[in-house]
Amino acid sequence: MSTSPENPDRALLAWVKDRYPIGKFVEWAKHKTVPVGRGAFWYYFGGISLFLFLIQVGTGILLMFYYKGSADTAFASVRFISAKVPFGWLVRSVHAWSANLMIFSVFIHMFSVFFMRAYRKPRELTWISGLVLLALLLGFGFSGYLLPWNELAFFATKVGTDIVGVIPVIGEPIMYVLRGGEDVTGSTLPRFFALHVAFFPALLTVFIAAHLFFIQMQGIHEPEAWEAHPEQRKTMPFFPHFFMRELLLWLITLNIVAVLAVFFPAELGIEADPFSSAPAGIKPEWYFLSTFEFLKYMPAHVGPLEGEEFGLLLISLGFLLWCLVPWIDRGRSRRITTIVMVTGVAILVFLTILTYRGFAA
Amino acid sequence: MPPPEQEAAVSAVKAASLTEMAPNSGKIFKFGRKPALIVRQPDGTFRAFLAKCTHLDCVVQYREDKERIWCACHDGFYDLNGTNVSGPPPRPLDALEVHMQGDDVYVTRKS
Amino acid sequence: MTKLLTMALVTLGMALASGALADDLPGGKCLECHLTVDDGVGELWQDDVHARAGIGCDACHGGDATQEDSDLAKRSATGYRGELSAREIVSSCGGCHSDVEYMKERKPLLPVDQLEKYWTSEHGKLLVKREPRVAQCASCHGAHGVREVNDAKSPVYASNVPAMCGGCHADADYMSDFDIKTNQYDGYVQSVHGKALLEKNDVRGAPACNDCHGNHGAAPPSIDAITKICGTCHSYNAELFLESPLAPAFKEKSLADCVACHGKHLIRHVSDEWEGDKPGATCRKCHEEGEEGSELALYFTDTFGSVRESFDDIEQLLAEAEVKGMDVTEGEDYVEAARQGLMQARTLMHSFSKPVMEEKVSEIAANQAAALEVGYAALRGLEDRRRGLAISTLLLLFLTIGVAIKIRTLPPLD
Repeated sequence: MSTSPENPDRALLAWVKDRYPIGKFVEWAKHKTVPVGRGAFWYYFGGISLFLFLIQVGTGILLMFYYKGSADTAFASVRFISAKVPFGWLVRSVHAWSANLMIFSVFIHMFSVFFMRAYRKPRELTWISGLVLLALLLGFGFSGYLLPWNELAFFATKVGTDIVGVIPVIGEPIMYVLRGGEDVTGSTLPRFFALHVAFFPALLTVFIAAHLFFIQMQGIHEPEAWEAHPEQRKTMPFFPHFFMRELLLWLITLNIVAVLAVFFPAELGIEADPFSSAPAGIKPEWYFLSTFEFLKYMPAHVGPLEGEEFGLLLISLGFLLWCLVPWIDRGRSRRITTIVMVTGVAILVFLTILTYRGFAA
Repeated sequence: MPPPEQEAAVSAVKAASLTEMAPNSGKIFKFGRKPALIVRQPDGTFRAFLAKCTHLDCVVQYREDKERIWCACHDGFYDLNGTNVSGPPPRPLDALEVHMQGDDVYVTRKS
Repeated sequence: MTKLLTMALVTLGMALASGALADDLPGGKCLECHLTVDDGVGELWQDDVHARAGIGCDACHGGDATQEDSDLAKRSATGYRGELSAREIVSSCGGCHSDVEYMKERKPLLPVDQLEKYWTSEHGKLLVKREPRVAQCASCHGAHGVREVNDAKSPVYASNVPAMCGGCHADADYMSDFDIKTNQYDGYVQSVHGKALLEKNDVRGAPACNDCHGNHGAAPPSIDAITKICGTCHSYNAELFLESPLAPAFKEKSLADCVACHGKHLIRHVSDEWEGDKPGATCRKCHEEGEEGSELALYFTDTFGSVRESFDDIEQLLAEAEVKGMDVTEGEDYVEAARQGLMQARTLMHSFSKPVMEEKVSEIAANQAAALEVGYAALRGLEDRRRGLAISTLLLLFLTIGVAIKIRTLPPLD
């Protein structure tokens, strides 16, 4: 970027600076750096996830122009969007693919943060807020999946909310509130719609803001190797170097989403009929497949608990431990660190295998 | 906590207008993607049904001479309540609800 | 001692039991033996409608139902008739069932004309001539286990009728002395009516033997009656046919209307080859090549043939579009409308009039054209999408290269 005072950017900046006290902010932005090194590639995935989220918001709002969120009209409105609205097919397919890619990207981001041990002090809250974001995203996925009100989504939701109902004591009331009644019916749809376009986005915005705020305040985590070998220290300015590279990846991601949307458009299938029996081979979206498969392997009873209850308990414990990793591995014991890392690899492998098995079934 | 069941019939189709249909006449119209039949009875009121015959899926029609709904395929008859009264049809026709709005006749799913 | 007592008690129990059972159903003491004897009558009687109506054995067989001892019960003074002959069966059943006053008191909605009709039937006429091998009341309804007609276990329940009639009429040996063919059952079972009744269980819709031949007045319909009989269900076809130029011609030549083309028992789905001009086609049976009738036949074949081909083309086109991810439900609606039209056209054929058919065919063609257009539009849309993607990919590529170049021009990292 040129530094000539005639540069229009500078003029604009000058105009804003004249009116708002953003001087400190501009200085900070100029000096913000990002580590450079072997693991640097993984740093981009946070930004990619954010980009995909922006795509979701944009396409989501466009979809809301035509989507009608009632059981009688939902399916027809989605068909209308796909078939009649100019570029409606594109908006819908992009929305569906971007959702999948975002969750995938978020998983990459989370595991890369884990293996770089960036969850350690002082970044514990960043880790926690990230996990809250993950949970919210899965909620987005689950609620959004039902909205076309097609057969697949209907039964996937039935199974999914059934699993929620397995939680002891509070599970059934939660399931009742989620479903808007005993079963998945036309009353369920408006709730899921409200969750998907209002409740989750509000929470997500708050937590994304918190997550980013924490990161900006603390700076990006530096590779551990630098502690022992300070001579390897190398950084790049966030603006413009890192940002431009990020932009490059964003453009490539956009292209990938477009190609997927054109060659693998989102399917619609047939309309949900609460009175018909479930088709063979229902399964949830891929990001829930590992949980689904895991529960299948549970025996009917384990002690006083039902198999599914036990399975859910295991999963909840696992998730809890995952949340508490910053307090388990504080970097003070090599043994603990090794165990935690190995466990992380095991979990990754385990999830991958289960997801694959879910597909193959 | 959600109240118990409340499904609302939302999708409504304007099937006819008062002026276009004489008493004792019938008209086939499109209800979403399905063919439907609206009948104006001799007393002036309207009845509407899905026009699919419950025997072998032919499209039924209104017979003014018999004041009944008729399926040409195998001579099945339904009365103006949609009940199968003669011939092969095993079940009554699927009924739809009729609502008047001024001069217009709107048809919706049964709620 | 205890052994004797037990045996005595058991025998007493059995006697009481059969006595008790015998008391529940009318039949009086007759059932005490006939429930245990191996003739099956007792068991059948449990399910009989007459038994439930309170009619006892003596009503048909005579005898004294109050007598336990079989000789006493069957003395000649009691009017005992034993096993009834064929004629005796008819007069016995008919005696009550044709008595209007009697039936009015008991089952007012049951018809009382069975006997009268029976005498007009082939079975009845032969019975009068003392031929015992004909069907009479018990042959179809049974004698002792008579069930309601709408009871699925009754031999006269709709879907059981063909096998029941076929019991005699398909038995070549049994029918060898009579001048009738025995292929009707075989033909019927393979026919559309047979499949509808026996395989799809369309009890309300599909005809069994009695729906065309009559129940009690069973006789082959006369040639003049055939259109009316088939027209009972296929009323529109019959109406069109009677108004067509073929009706008077058939009457003149004493041809059996519907049967002349469609057959009697082995009625199959109509295929378009029927209407053709080739030897062996139905129309060729009367019309020589080049005649007006033959020309019309050709017209029908060609028209229906091209309609069917269009359906195949449309199917293919829509399937292709759907597999590639485009939505073609609107096209399917047009196809459905066209198929309904084709069904109507096949019926309208019975008016044997070219103008009538032309009108219907243009309606079908319009729907098929609309369906094709939906398919083509879908494929064009696919092309448009690919092209759009190519252009936007190119644009994005330029942008990406631009950004990459920009990155290169950035000051190097220290």
